Amino acid sequence: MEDSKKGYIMKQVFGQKELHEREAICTQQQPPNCMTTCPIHLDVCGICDALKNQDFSKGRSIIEKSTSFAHIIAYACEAPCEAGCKLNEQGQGIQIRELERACLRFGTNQTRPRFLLPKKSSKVAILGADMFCLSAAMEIGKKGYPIKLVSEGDNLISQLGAFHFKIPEADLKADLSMFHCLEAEFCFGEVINLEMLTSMLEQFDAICISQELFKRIIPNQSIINEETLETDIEKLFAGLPDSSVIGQLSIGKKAAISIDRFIQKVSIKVGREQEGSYQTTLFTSLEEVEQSKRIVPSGDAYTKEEAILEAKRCIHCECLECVKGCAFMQHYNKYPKQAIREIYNNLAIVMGNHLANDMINSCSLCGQCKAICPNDFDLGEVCKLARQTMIKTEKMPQSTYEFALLDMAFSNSDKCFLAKHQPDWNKSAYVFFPGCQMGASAPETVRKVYMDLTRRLSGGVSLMLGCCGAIADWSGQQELFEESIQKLMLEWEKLGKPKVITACPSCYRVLSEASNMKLVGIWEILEEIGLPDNVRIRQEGGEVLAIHDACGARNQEAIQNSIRNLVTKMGYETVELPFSGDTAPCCGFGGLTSFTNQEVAKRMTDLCIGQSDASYLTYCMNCRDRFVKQGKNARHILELIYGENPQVSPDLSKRHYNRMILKQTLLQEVWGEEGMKQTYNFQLVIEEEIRNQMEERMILESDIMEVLDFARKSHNIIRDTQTQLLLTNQRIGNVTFWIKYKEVADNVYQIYSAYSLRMTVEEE
Amino acid sequence: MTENYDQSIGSIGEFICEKCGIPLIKSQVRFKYMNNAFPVELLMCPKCKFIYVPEELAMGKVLKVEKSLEDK
Repeated sequence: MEDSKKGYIMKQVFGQKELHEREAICTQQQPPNCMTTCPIHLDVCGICDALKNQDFSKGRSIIEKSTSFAHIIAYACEAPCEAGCKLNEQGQGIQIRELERACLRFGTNQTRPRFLLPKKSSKVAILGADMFCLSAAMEIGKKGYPIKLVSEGDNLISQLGAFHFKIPEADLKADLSMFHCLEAEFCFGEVINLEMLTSMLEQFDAICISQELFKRIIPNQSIINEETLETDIEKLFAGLPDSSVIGQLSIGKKAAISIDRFIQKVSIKVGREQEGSYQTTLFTSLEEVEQSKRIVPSGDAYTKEEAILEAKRCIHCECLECVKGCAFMQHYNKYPKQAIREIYNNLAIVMGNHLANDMINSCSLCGQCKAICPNDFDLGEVCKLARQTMIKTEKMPQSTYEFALLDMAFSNSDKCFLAKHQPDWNKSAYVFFPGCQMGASAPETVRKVYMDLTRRLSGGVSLMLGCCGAIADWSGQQELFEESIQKLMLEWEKLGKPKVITACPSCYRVLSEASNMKLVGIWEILEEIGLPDNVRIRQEGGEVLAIHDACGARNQEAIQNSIRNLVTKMGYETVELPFSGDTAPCCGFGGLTSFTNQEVAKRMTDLCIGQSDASYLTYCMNCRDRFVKQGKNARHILELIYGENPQVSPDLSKRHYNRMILKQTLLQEVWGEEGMKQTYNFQLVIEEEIRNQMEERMILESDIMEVLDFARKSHNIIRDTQTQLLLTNQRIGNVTFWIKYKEVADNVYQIYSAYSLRMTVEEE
Repeated sequence: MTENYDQSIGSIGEFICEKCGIPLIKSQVRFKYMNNAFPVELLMCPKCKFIYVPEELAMGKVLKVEKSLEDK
């Protein structure tokens, strides 16, 4: 038992207290300001929504659920909600009280009170018959207590105050007729004094008294707790001074809650912070809201049509700021508060399916939500912590990050990794570190940049090819990440700790956070030493480029500005995208989304490229790749500067191959050395359709080569006699790859299909 | 996993083991993943025991079961 409890606690990414603290940062579930400024928290947006659907009866039932005095509210309420309406900040707020009246006029009363009263034996008396007392009496009665209301007036209306003249008599009577549904006794024309109070305190379990009577009868002991309405005298609860009808109604409700808790002997004080009027914390942007004017009633009150038009002006206040720019949250139809709760619950599951695994592993961890959120909620941080916890507790699905991690291992293997001083140098002032993805996508650009740097920078420029470790970091593999940083540091130290020139904003971020390397961005170097001599400077009125900021450069204003300066120097006009700078969305590569959830990654890319028709300029090679892959004209800033414009996105196999060839080519061309070469004495023919299938299934050409090489030796081959296709398989690591193929010429194989499975299969 | 896969595993005589030169026959085999085992009938070479896993099975039911086991 002790062990299982320990395991349960270990699985949590954080405790419940922290969960609540984090949840509280997201205000999306907070009620709108109209509702919180209303002392009885009337669901104004709900009423407007009902009227938008022409459902006046639903609007009416919303009012009647909040108060039994619907007509009093509709005619005499001071409507603090109207002052609280968010639209006032931009122009004219909604005429809420007029809408309430329209609901009562045009809506039918569907919910005549049929209070299912739990009969209670404790008795409560109400002394006075002002709005506070009537409200308290109604609410206490609705809780099932027999009530006795004692008034000095002649009837229920006489003590109400002048406001009741505003209300049509029939409507007022309709409201007060609600008392018939309660177990209530009324005594009118009584003289209420200290003697009567003393005697009633003995007969009743609690007494509620109006503010006026309390002050008159006990002038020297008139202390009232504003939170609970308790007085110095036990069992006695009194009203507060509040001249507004809605205020008195709300205080009456408060008295009922206190008296109920007092009689039930539970805490009177706990959880009462949000009673009465308060300011909401809900953030609502008016940026995209069109200004509208109040609908003026043509007569004394709104017609149905006028009320509907006025209700349609309601913008139904909500935040969702982060969701607007995030394809991930849009895909899962979640805002951070919902997502964090699901993630928390997912990690807590002891037995059963972890249904939120996909969501946790599909976030790009890009930090856009934090940059946009008025309160800095960072859902990416939560997803990353969850991934780390899943790794530690061995709950991370084996397949999720395997391909990406193998890709990183390949980048840092002897086949691709390189760390060398500039030829004829034995020390380096700089080391150029282009990052694994630039070598994969644009090896020629890497070569050109390196050659340029060696020509124009003094002190020696060494070259380091490999992965910064971001892939391990994103997949939650903390140990592997630290290990890869250590290895990189070691190589850097061997080079004499030169200044590292990164060409990828994500490498820049990762290395600045996890290592003590001295870093500088290639963009900064090019600003400093100037553009290369042969760069093509465009004349005025040249092509317009929309700059897509990299998520790796979020909160890095200097990087963002450097890019803009370079592009401007080259004579291009630039346009800013709606989500740019710190609020730019991720292209779909960040957080490894493109490996874990291709559908979400595609939505992320679509959101990015859908922002403008202009050609895009990126400064992260992954952004360029994903945009081009989905048909967008996009170039990386280094391609622009060094005259490369491939407009193709290499597939996974090609990216793999490019990294290996880049090392071999540079070793040969720059250092005159032979690199490791893996050659096969057979060739493949793979048509585009099959290549697309391989890309989707994340099967590499090199995997196929390995399987076929093995088949040629083992002869583990099956022939399909119907299609004459050959089938073979081989297990590489945790995956068995199957290939369907045909030998179309000597040592030339055409591939018809490639598929894989992680399960093993053996004879029973 | 215990459903009948006759439709997708192929029929006897359709597939020949190139190494042994004999047809694959229906045999009781076992898929294994994450300490779970599932008995299934698949085509296998009776001599060298090479087992054929059809594409439809690998990319369909097997993938689904792998995913659900990983999410346990």
